Amino acid sequence: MHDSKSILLHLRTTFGEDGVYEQKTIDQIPTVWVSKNNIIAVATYLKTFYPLLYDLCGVDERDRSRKNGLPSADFTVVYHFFSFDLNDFIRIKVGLHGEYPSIPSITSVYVNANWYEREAYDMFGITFEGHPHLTRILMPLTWKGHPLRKEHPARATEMGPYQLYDEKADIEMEALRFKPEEWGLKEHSDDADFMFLNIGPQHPGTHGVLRIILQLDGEDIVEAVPEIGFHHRGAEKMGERQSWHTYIPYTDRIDYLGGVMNNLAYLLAVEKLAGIEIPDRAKTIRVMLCELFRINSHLVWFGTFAQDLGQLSPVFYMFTDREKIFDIIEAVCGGRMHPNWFRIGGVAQDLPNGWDKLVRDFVNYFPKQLREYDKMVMRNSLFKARTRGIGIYTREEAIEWGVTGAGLRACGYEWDFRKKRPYSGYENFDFEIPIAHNGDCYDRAVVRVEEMRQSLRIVEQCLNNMPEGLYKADHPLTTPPIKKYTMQDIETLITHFLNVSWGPVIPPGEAMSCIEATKGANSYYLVSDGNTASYRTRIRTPSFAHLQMVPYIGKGYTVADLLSILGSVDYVLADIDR
Amino acid sequence: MQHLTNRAKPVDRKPMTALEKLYLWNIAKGMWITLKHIFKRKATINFPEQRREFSPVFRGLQVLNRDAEGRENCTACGLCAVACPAEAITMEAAERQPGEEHLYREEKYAAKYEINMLRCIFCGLCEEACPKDAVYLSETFAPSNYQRKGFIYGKEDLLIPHPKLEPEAYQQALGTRAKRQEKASSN
Repeated sequence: MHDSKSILLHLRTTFGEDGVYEQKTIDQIPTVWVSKNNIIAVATYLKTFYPLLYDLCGVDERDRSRKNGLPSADFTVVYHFFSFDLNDFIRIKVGLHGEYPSIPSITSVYVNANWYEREAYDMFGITFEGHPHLTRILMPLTWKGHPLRKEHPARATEMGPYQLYDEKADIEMEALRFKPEEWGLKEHSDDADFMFLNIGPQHPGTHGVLRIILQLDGEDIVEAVPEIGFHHRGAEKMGERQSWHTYIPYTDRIDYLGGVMNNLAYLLAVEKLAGIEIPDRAKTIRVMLCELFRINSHLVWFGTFAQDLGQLSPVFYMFTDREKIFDIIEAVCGGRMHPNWFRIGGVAQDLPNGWDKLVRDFVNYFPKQLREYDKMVMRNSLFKARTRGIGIYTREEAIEWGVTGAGLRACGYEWDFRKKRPYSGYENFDFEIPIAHNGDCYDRAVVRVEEMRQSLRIVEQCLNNMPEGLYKADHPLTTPPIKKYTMQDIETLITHFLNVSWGPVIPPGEAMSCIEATKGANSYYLVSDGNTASYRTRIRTPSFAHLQMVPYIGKGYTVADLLSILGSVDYVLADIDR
Repeated sequence: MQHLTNRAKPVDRKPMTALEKLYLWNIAKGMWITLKHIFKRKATINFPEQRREFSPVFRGLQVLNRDAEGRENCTACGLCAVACPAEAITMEAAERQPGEEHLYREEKYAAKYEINMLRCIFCGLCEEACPKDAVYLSETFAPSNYQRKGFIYGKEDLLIPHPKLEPEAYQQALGTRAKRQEKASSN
């Protein structure tokens, strides 16, 4: 039996004491620094135990203070691997030196490193040697500089006014032209010419600003090349600029269908760093809101999926139900899609009077609706014909491509982070993990529909067992501090002023959260150097990994099938581009 | 054309029955459900003749508050401006002159207070930051406008009507908050 200790020992004996440095982190994830030359060997060794490359990102270490004896480095590349057997992460770090360093690519070991390495190259200018196609992925090809480097300005006002003169417009237009040969795509086969079809960036079937270029043989897809980045807003860069507290509204906008779920992922990491214990009431309120948002997000997916396949009515009925959830959310949070309602240490306010009636009404109302949707969509033979046997992938393929969430459960793998690595009190709830076995579009739909029922169960348990107590922890780093005395007492007023203006000072360290978000595993990996803003905010989103897989599963199907596949994958472009 | 379905286990697909294969029957069933919905209660309202009710905590347009005597609460400390993630708030402070005590509650007040509604994300952090109960988000939203400058809300747009001089407009501006405040004061 291997565990992370024996794996660390093995690394040490294989690569020598000097090449391996173990770092202690607050989140208890084993963290190991290895040298750049060993990274492929390390990755190859780890793959047997940690089959999932969960995340890969860069960090610009040049301005970081309070490193507490970490190895010196100008940049680091951080790999997060996940093992289902050990139910644990391992974090591998490689320190790099120089202005524009390079490191061997691990795409030969983990295929899904492809997009992650492109992103790290795009954001930091780190070259990955041996990468099959190292180009920018989020920024325009004509962009100057690498945005997440510390010298790159964070604001448009630091960059001088933007002007689009004719010459520049031509350059930009030319950069957008798709050149098949750059992607190693042939214009024709032995007996036929291929057609290149541009889907998006403005296309209802892509569910957002996504461009997919298809190489077609007749109507069959030979190759698909997604182009992303149209929705890129630099959320990770903003994390380095906003205070820990004022970054919360930005997280709302990452997976905009997930609402408070994003707040939770971010805050779990912040609270780990700050060492704040959350009161039970706050935890339960958080879980209830998260599950309402899960239903909400799945309803949007369900409606639009049916619409993609030609059923125009369900989306309207489902949006009506979604509105009922929004009524609850609005009564509780004051906002709708962007609730910005969780705070460091708890939630913004206590639940309003009468919240229980609103939730009870919904819990009683919704099952009947789900039955109708089953009849209307899931049992419809046209829907079945368009989704069964389409877009199949196996469990092994899913893990290889970093698929989490409903997509993984649809291949028969019972993996839900709420159950396996409970957070925010999920261990106290009684619910089941729905799974299906075929891994096709229909099964992904079956899993999500059942998830809505399970979420409703959790909401009902929250409703019946809402604990009494504080809605926000009584801790000096809780932001803003409970306001009860602020207006009377100068001492609390001073604390209030400091926490609201500078924001709390979070102790130096590193922590990663991992939650089962609406679309899969969502994580925030935060590096603090003991300041009022994060030193590095890394957002691992499920949609990014899922979209990367689409060309692979889309091959050989027709264009119409591709739209089923895109619909069933359930991604949000804001979640992909961040 | 290579079909990649052979790399996954075959799908457990029950053959469709003859009736299902007709598809027409399913189309008819679907249409029947749609038809039934025509007779259900409408989920929509006729905006702008009808307006939906917002919850009392709804985060809409900001309002600058006055106290019961109609004096402005704001003391121009600038905490809302620094708490604002979108940097939508600008203000200029001024000192209260003798004889202006009926206008401003504190010795310092906001001579200029502007919110750029195009920047504002209605997150409510200004309301949370305010130590004087001077700014809160109300139950309305910013109306559309043809011009950019129409979205820069000054003090005259934001201040709540005077409770003594315009009691009716004041009550209306309070919205359901009035009921809550009464409740709170009676407790």
